[in-house]
Amino acid sequence: MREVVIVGADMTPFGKHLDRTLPGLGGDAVRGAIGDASAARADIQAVYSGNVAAGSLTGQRIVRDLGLGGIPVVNVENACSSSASALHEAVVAVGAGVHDTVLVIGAEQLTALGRGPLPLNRDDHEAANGQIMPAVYAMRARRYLYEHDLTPADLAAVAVKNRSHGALNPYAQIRTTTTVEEVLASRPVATPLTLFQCCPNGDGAAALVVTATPERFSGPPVRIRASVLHSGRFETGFRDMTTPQITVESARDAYEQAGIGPEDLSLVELHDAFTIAELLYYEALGLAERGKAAALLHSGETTFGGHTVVNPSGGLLAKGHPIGATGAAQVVEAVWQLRGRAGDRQVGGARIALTHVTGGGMAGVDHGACAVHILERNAA
Amino acid sequence: MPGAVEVSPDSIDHSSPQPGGALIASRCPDGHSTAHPPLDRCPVCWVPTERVALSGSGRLYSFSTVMVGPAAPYTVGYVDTPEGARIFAHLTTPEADLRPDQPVRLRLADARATWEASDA
Repeated sequence: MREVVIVGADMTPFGKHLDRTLPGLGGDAVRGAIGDASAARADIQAVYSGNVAAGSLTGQRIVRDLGLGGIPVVNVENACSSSASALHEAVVAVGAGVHDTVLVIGAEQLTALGRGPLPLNRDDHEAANGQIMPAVYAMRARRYLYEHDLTPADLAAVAVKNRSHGALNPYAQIRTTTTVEEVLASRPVATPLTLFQCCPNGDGAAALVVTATPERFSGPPVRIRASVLHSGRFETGFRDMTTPQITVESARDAYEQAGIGPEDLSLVELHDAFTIAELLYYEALGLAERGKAAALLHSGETTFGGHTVVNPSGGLLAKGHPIGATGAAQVVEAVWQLRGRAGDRQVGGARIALTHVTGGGMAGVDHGACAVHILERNAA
Repeated sequence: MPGAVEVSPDSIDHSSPQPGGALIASRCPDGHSTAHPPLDRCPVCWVPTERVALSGSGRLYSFSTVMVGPAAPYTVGYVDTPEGARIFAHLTTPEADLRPDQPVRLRLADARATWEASDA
């Protein structure tokens, strides 16, 4: 495999863009990323586009008005991992020499679906009988608190941290800070999870220019040291819901690909769709030992000034979670951080970043898909 | 369906002495999997499964009360059965009286399954 780098990255602010269209949001991100790379449209040899809920040909619908036709456009649907999966496919194609330079897009307009939890597939036995994603995470939370003698205040502290990060990020959907008391007093969604412990529904888009020939572009390159995609495994019997197996396995493979360990990470953008998720993923990514995630959070080592800043963007809880856009947007944040261009939320001396996105509710599996990327600042 | 899991007619054993019948799971003849709702073939080895009636007892792994949506509130959880299946369950016992690892028992009536706390 050739070395693959990112030379262009941009995203729209996340939020409720009620007066916009999906192609409009996607187009903003694409023009931004190509401009960031100082690439020409003729440099783009293929497009990999992630979206979940907007129907067919979303990639073509985004690039049509941008004059990017005639090249392969691949649409990728992998629930919340869609655009990270699109990036993975781009890395594989560029690394293998199929293309030199490609575009990755993630775009989603959840406000078009209305409010409330996202619909799951009705042919799923659990979804047909009242299961919703907040309840899946709530059951993980209940079990985790029980096994490790923790309280809902430990969960709430995740939201407090990530909201404090999001308050510094002009691209975040929620830009106000909060308190443990306020988080716990917000309305219950699925006990023990309250509203402020759930990511908001919103819209947005992100785009990346991925290449094996960075010398052709003026955008400062960020190296992709690992790109890993996994699917979940079906278990008909007992499954430890506090050990997110798909993330454990994806992270293990990513560290092996990159030849680094969790101690080397300056920052992590992880899939905090609900507060409990961040704690479970500290452990799955090797940042904390089993049962010690809350202690790591309370130590301050995962906020600004700590050893590994987790979700400096505010994460899904504050930045927002337009699901098909999330994976690419995490990588945009990582690129900005590694280039030292993250403004008030800059992680000092950021050198190596990990992005992690998972998701997709299915009976009997941890998650449907998980993608992990490790990125490194260019030494030059 | 709010408040209960609708059980398909072919996964109820009406010959069971349990009120409303017993839940039927699939079991791999080579012991790879026990599943409810039943699977025709074992996902591990693809061999056609056997049918086994569940005892109706189990242990509650975790649970949550859903407070959103038109059917709310309702309490869902996962029950692990001694036969080795994990079952998505609706709980009728008030949430305040539930805890993880709580023993629970099946109630099946009119092809609707619910579970409640039990002492044994």
